[in-house]
Amino acid sequence: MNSRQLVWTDPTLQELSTLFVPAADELDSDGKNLGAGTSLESRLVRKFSAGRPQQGVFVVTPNGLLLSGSHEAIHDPRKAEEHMRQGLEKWANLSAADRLMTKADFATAAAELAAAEGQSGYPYDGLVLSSICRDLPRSAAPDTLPDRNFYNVDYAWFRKNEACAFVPAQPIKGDTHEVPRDIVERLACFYFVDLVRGHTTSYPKEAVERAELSAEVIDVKGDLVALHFKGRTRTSEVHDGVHIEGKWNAPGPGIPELQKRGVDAELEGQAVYDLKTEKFVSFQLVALSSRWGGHAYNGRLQQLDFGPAPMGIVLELAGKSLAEQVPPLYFNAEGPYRVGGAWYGWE
Amino acid sequence: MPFVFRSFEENATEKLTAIQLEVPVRIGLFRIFITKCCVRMVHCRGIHQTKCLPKPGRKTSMKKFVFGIIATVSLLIAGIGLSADRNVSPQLSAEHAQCRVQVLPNSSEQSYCSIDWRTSVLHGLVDAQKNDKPAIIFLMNGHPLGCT
Repeated sequence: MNSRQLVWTDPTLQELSTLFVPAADELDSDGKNLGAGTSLESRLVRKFSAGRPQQGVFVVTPNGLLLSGSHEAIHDPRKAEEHMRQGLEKWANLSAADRLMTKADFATAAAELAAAEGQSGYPYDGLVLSSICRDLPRSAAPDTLPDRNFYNVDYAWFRKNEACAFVPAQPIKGDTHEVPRDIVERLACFYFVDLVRGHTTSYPKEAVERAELSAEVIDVKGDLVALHFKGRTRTSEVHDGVHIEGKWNAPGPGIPELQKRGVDAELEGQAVYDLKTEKFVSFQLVALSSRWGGHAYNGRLQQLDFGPAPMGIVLELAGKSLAEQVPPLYFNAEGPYRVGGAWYGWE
Repeated sequence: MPFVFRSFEENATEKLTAIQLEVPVRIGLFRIFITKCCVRMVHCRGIHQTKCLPKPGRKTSMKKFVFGIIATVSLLIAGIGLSADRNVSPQLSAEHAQCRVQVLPNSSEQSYCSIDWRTSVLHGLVDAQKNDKPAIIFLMNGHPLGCT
């Protein structure tokens, strides 16, 4: 997470990036299997990573020749700059045959890309929200720890019929509509999760103690319906003795004997829905929450920061750019929004 | 295309057509129309005064009065339209509004969005071939532009 925040906000790198085609991708994508897959993309990734794909910043030719790169560059903007400059120097001395894909490979690559875009599942006619989480100040005094300011981003996808569920069927000013529980559960299980500093597992349905969200119709003007959201979710789990990597810690110093995790979120939001186009033209949902628990993967173990501590999560309409069409984190090997055999209405 | 995380207010400013669809857009267009009319009236009046000077002794105070009334009423109507814009959506409580401000990335934090990222290795390499440029590949556990 902090690589995006600490490295790619560097103005020099941003300027240098115009001399390249920049691409960001998920190393451990379940669908792509970059480490062992047979697609051209997997083979190119293995070529520039010498058979062992890892996190990092790599300068490569279109045919997958590594010019420069390292794992360390994801934490160090100057290292990334060094790789970019080295890469440009080497690039200048390569012939077209050395740097470009063959015609046959390029045709395969273009076909694979078109197929991948067709299978993305992006809900063009539904609702796409960005979900941003960050730790909130714990006292009135300014918190000077730099890593207290980390934030993370995810995207929430709702199909058209699910998006409509946030709005009453016949909106009348003053009426209140309860958003269906399965939609609110999806938010609680997959978005009101402590992802501020890294990944953790989502919450199973059984962990949901509260999932309430009401939408009050504030105004109706023509086709526009103004809504005010209010609600509460609470998820809570206790370690049942079965160790799950990325969810619970192995016993150790400073780790509570009885491990727990959860998020208690007070929700408020506002939105404007267009009945004619059946789309939201604005949407905000703010979760003011208390979170507890944590492990090494989501960065809480290192500082024994198991809370309870305040965390804010903001869901807002995402834009249409390619970068904002990245799939939600919990579109995983089990399927979209699917965990432990339970599913959350996507399919 | 580079992207930014937009605030409610920024959205309203930057993408009026996308955010506050028809009613406010109509009001906005009406405001522009009224403003143009006012400007045109003043312009015409100027032309009238320079090219068609009143004959000596002719009274012009009534004309001034009518122009003044029209301009004032027009501006008042436009002002009502402006307040209608703001009343379309409800407001967050102070506590949640503050939380939102604390959580959303500031302009420096979101400047990584100014880079023209492709969202897969394959897309990057295909476009690199098309543009005859080297690719810079940023690989992470979890998508680097999403939750990582």
